[in-house]
Amino acid sequence: MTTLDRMLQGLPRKAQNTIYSSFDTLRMMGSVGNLKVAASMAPSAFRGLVLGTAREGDAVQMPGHHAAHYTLTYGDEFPEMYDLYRRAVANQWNGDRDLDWSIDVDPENPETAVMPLDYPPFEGLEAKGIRLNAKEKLRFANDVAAWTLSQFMHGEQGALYAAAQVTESVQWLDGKFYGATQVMDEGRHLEVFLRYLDTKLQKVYTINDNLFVILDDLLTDGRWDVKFLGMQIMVEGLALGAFGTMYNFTREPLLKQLLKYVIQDEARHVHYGVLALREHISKALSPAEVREREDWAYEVALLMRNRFLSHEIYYEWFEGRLSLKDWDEIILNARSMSAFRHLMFMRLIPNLEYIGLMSERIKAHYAKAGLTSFLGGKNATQLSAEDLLRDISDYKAPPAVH
Amino acid sequence: MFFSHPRRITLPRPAGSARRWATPAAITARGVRVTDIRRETDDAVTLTLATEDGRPLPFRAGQYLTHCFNIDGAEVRRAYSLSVAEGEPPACTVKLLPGGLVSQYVVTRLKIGARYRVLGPSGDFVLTPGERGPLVMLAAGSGITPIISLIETALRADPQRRVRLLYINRDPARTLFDARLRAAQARYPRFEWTPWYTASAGRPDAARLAELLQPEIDAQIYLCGPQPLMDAATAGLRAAGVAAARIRRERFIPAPRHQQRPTAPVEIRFLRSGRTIVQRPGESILEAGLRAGLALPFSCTVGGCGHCRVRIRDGEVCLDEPNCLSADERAAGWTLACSACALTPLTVDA
Repeated sequence: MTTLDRMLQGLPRKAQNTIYSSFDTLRMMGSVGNLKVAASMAPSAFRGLVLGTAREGDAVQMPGHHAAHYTLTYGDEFPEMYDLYRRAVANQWNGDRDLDWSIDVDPENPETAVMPLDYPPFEGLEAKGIRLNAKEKLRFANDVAAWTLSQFMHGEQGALYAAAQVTESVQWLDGKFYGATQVMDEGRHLEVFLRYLDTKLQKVYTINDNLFVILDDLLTDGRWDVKFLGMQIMVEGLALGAFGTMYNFTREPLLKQLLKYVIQDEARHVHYGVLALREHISKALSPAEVREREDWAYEVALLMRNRFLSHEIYYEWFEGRLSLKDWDEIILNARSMSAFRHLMFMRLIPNLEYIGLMSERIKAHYAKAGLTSFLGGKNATQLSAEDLLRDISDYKAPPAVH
Repeated sequence: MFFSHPRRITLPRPAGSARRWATPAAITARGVRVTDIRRETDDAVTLTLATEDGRPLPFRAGQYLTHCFNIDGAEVRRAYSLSVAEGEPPACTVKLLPGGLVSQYVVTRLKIGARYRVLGPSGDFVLTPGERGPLVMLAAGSGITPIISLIETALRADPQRRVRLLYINRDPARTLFDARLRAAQARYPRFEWTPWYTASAGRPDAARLAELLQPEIDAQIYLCGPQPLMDAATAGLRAAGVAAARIRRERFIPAPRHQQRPTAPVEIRFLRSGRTIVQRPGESILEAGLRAGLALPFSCTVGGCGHCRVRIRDGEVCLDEPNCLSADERAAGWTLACSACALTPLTVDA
């Protein structure tokens, strides 16, 4: 039992949760080893975790501090990016025309379950004394699906703005061409997730605090390469892990097709990020700047691994029946989380390696976190959309750990 | 550091900013259960419904549901208007029609607990959002069903709104929602109800209807009843200088009789998308197009609303009758995708 556990013993559940989550916030902010990285993230962490900015109101203003790079000579060709641009133009899909929205999404039909019952952590809940009956399990699984897809949608909104900012800031004209297609892609992703939630699941969850922190940090950071690294490599990697997990689990044909289209787009997005950053990191950054980006990527990777713990579902379902700490433990050990982590890092680590953010120094940190097994894997320039979908489908999640 | 914030879990989306996507959802049938049957008159009942999946069935006042009943082994569809204010559990009122297969079934055989499927809600006979001017309503017989929903919704939103109703029936015993209309009169001083009984006062003609309705200059006018009555009211109002844009009509079409449909696949070419689709035996043009993922507009799916109107460029169709197409529309080559199927290879401008 830790000191914190001893402190919490005997307190009412609500007080336990308040103290636990406050200490957790402090622990998260304190865990960032590089002070510069901690300082750059602190304002977003304060807004998201302490002030709870995303928990009320209709909108949040996120001031951007980046400069638009306006070309006067239309030079700076980047043939690989131009190829990507042409491919993106050729592969645009239409969310209204190309998806069968007439499909009746029946949340009670196990044959076409949006989230089959082997996805939610029922065993973990039972180990903590919470048993749900068959009807509750079904409702819970549907809520987890709505929560997950809501977070995808909130992430896509962030991606839309980040893609627009990056299109302004990037120095290559071919990058701007490509960026414009990505803005369109992200807008379409936002549209289809919102439409699915509104018309099929009819439930939309609020943005998760930790996702808000990452998006707020990216959108307010003035350095274009940090935006790029954050959005094109880290958040897109997170998205591939999360979308891939859902794609593997869901049996609902409309969602499966929707996710397939989205994953195919994401493959291009990561490819673009990798091309731009490898060039920039190897040619334009000082060793100190490279080191800071390495640390930043590492911290964000850990944040993404450890902190998407669906607290909104906890507060809706189990506040008063279970401590927040126990909930976090259940989710971290759930089978779906292990699938998500696997698929995310399988893509992320080789990409960080390829763009030059995997020095021997930082490798030691990744080794401690158990993430080096993915080193040497295929990076985004070596993978087609079909490869990505095949790798996702081939992955079988191991059983849950309790 | 240890602030406690009000925690918002889900986002309130009562009507949903995504209302624009609601139409395609109308093809998605939802299971419903009858939770209450209220007898309104000797020949009319109101069915209150709950969805089988427990999810809400949000609707706008004036809309209708297409009810898919299984009667003696065959599925039959009818559109019945929602007759309650927005936000209440969905309820539709059905009046017995002489010789009406479905209304007979609903009024005499349907029991509380019965389960069936509905499409929708659909229809654009609705209040204009943000509009606060006077409302003038004309209803006849069971045409009151969407009108009562519009009246109660409008008055709940703005108890001071001026709302007038001319309600035509054969005699007082046929009046639907008598108690609700009286309650509205007592509660809302600016609501005015004029009953009109044809058994004693005769049928009002166009000029008399315009005189009785006498809309204010900024009023929106809603008409719902038999076609000849609405035609007369429209003619009277137009002659009195009322702009056509201020008059809304909800058409009531008797149940269509299904035509024999082809038993072999037929190709349909959709000009706007450039797609050629094979219509399967038994399918309508609409069903074939939607199955192939085309974004075709539609609403009631029973030939009553005209949302799925398409123009035929080449080929022959068979069309279920009666339906809402006018003689002029037919002469100009229009058909209804929901109620028609291709008999020969077909090209449509859709």
